[in-house]
Amino acid sequence: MMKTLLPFKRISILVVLFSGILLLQSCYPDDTLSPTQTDVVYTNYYDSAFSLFKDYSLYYMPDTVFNIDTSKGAQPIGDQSLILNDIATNMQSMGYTRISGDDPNVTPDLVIVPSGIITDNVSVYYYYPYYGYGWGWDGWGGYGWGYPGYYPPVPYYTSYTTGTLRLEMFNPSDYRVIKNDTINPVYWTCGINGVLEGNDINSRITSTIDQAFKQSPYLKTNAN
Amino acid sequence: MKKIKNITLASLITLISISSFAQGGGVWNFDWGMAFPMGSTTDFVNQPSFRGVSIEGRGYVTDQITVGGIAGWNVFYENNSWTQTSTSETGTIYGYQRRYLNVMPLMVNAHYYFSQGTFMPYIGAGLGTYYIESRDFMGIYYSQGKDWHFGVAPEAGLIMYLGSSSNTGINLNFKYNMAAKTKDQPTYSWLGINIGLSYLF
Repeated sequence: MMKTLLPFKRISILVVLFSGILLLQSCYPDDTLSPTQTDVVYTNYYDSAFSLFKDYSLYYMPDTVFNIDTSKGAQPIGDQSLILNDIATNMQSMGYTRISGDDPNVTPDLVIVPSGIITDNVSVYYYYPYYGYGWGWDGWGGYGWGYPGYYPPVPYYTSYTTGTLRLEMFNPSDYRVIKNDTINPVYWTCGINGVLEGNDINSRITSTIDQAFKQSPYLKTNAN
Repeated sequence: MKKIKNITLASLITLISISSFAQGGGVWNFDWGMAFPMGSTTDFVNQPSFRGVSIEGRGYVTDQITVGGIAGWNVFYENNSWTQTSTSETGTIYGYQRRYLNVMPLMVNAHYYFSQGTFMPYIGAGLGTYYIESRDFMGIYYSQGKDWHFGVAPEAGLIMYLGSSSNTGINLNFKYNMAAKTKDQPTYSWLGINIGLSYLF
């Protein structure tokens, strides 16, 4: 059952139709996020310390969120007391008691070091212009009629600022001397990262810190 | 290098199969494809995909058998919203999770037709490669896997022509897609339901 050859034009209309559907639905559909949705909380622990937390009770935390970026002109870490108070609240509900560190006879079981960095990120995307046949930049120094030929891609930039908060816990009594350096293994580490945009940054900071402790139930102590 | 070899091989197979149409007519299919994840693929993405297209050419080698080639594309997407998941034995990550699979089959295939005429029920199978790119997003970060998988795709379907003298019809088929495990990437499988236009030439 041979039939007449389909006019090529009809096939090409179909191909265009299909490619249109493809272009409308890109490889990564629905890929836009609100600033809140960029928040990520990562935690990890030293597996040898897993069972130790339950017997600890005292901790020390400095009254500063250290800036990881020590270069001159580094952006300061925003609301420090907000961050420190929220960590203290969470440690308290985990059963720990904060010590001031003034009494040299009292050694804390854990030391928390909060630090942060604010980073400006610039992304470059390229847009490939298509002018088709006709008038256009001919790429060799002027306008003219002709085949479009090669057009350089047009770059465009987006920039966003991310904030990273890092929390680290170690036991000051647990140290090793490696190549004449005293090293404390980190018992618990936490990284919080998000795009610093919008007017709910403070509530995002506290809710992500809360999440870090929530996803680390092994930190809970029974000593008190 | 391996990738180039795969592309070359796949294009060659497709070209050879398309050139065989010259023998005595054939069928062009332009299909829209739905895909339903199966097996361990549901652990990665559990949502069906409604973003899929394929272009297929089949050429008659006997009255009842065609050989041909198919190229297609399916996008699987699942938004898991706020998710807490383990990254290792001791690590945990929490974030706004979205997962994507971009699947591009490039295959040669053969079909057997139970009858010719207005209704053409058929069975067939494809053999070739799937290029699969997986992305697991947490906020603005993602981990990506991409590879060429060896693949097989048995299918059963029906071409129904719109009238006895028409060379235009509707193609409907059910296709099981199996992309084999590679060194770094897992097995993926899904059931495809494809519907589209069919042209006899």
